[in-house]
Amino acid sequence: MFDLKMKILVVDDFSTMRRIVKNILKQLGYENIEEAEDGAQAFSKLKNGGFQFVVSDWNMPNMDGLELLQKIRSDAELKELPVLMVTAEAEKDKVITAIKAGVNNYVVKPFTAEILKEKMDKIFERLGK
Amino acid sequence: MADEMEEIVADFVTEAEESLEKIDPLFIELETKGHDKDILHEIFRSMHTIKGAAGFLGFQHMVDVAHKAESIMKKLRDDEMSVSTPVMDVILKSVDMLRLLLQHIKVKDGKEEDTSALLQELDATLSGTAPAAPETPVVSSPPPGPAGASAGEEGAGPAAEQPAGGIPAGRSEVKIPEVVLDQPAGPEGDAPAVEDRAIAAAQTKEPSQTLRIDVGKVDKVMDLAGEIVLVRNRLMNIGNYLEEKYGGDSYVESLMGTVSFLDLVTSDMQLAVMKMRMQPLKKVFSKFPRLVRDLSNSIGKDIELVITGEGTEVDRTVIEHIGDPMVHIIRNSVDHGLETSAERVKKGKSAKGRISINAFQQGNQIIIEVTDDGKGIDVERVKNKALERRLITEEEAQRMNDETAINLIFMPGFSTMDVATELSGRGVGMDVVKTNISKLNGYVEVRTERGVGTTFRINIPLTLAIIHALMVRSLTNQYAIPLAPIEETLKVAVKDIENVSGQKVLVVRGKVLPLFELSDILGYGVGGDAEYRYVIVIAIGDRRFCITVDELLGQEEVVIKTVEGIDTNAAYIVGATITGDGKVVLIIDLAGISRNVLGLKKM
Repeated sequence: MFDLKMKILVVDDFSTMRRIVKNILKQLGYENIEEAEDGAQAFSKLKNGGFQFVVSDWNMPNMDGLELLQKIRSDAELKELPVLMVTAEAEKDKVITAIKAGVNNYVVKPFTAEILKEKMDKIFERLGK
Repeated sequence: MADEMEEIVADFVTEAEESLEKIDPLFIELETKGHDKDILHEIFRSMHTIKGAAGFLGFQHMVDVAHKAESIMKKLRDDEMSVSTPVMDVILKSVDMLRLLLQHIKVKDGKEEDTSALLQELDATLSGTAPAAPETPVVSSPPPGPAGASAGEEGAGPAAEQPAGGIPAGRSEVKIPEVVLDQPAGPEGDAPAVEDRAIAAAQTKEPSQTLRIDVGKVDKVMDLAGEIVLVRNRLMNIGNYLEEKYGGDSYVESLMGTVSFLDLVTSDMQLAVMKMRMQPLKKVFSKFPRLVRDLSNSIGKDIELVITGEGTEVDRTVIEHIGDPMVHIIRNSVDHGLETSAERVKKGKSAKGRISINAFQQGNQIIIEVTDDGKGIDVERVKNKALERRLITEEEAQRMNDETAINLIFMPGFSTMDVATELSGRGVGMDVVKTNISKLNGYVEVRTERGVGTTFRINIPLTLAIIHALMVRSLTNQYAIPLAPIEETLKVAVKDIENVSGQKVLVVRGKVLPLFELSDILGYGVGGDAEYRYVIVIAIGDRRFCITVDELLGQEEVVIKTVEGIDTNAAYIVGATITGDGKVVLIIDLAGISRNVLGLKKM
């Protein structure tokens, strides 16, 4: 099992969505959760350090989830950071783009706590933690 | 958990409504602009977001409608379908339906809407078999479903008025930390519709850390805060009077307590409102790299621009007005200040010229410096030019020290280049800089060293609306003198004031400072033959001088009101204020006095 104390960043421009995702993460036992409104804000928060996991929406103004992912992957400090992308429905081309850009996993809205846990488990399993 | 869920649903309703309101004006824009990818994407995104959250919360009807509408928007955006009235009608109907569904969720009436007709219509549009609209039971625009009226929603169109919480379509508004509107910061803002915004704000339960507010409203609050300061000042005056007269009376005591609390709260409020209007200078500075690049390209100078302190926050009025003068200064540096690469190399400098812009806060002042490492200002040339233009006399030129001479560049009609170049423009020169900055109650200083470079230093007060002032009496008139540049006040015997070749001077702490009668500067002549004079020592930039008055009345926080109809530049007045005892008092423009009276007497 992985660390329930890890610091997670939830990125979504819609505050209700952030709250929902946060709520689900809390159901799974995570407490240390912060929020960001878009990719740009997320990135600057990430740069300030301490995050171990990112759950990001795809569609956002300013900097969307894919751009954020690309920025994370090309950043020396952050490139190893696991990112879970939230998409609305499994659009094949999008998922492929995301995988190519180095996403660790994706989850389709709406999802339950169980599904999220499954996805996260898989990510950390692969990362060997 | 149930409460949590309820809260989330409430949040969702508010946020989704907001989101729909935000796209309302986009439909109007779309009508005038036609196919616009950004707008189409924006509408798509709203639908998409609402769908996503609705899915989590189990609002299947919303998911269905939003999903299909989103698909249409996507096709429009990706040019797989063209924007047409029937298509937009269907989208608008979907927006209305989403609103209706949100309304049901909000009032928890448990009503179901029959969305099947709309879904069919959406499908038909999607598959390209539209226009199918007339065949469906839902004719034209009103929202389908019997509950339409009872729910209080009038979905008659995108611009239709929304219930409480609505942001009127097309109204200009700002997200405070980001956008500035081109509205003058004048105190007379219009105040209608404050309530509906207040409701909107109250209903918006922390949708994000920022709140969009009409600039006019922030200005209104600023204005009202100013008024409260004035009232507070008057109350304190009355309180002091009562205390003197009826000291010890318990009512007076409690009045004094209350007044001092009001004093405290007012100061805090002032600060809070001030902060509300603050924006980072980045908004202005961000256009300079482009400016410098274009300028340097056009005249073939190699220039590097270094910007620091762009995060410094200033009042939004400053943001609006500091741009032009700074552009002038930068142009001036590029054009006159920096040498060509060849010249630079010859002088042993780096081939690349350098302009640095730095901003920082210093006490109650914001300082912005524009420095170039160019050739510096040639004082003799400046003097000669001023002579040529008859801005000064031969005698003045002789007597003038370098610092004063350099400041000649701020005089109207001065331009050192014989032929105004394309860059620095048509003779409108540095005087515009001076004028614009003094409008912000600030001042500019120049420091220059031959061969090393020039620095223009702009000083602007942190807050523009309220200043601390020393109240004085000169002859029979009362004036307010801004406190910031005042170094000290002295009571001096008239016999100690000396006269050096026609100029009155006073020795203050070993330094000889020029001294002027305030009444003389203001054109009332020199009055009285009192034995003692009150002397105010003023320091503006590197310049120090004294002005004398008949009486010092005390210190007060004054709200600057602009005075219409007088040339505040020539009259040495920055504005007027209302004092604690209800008098209208003019506020002295020390920067103006320092500029015009020192060294350039009687111009």
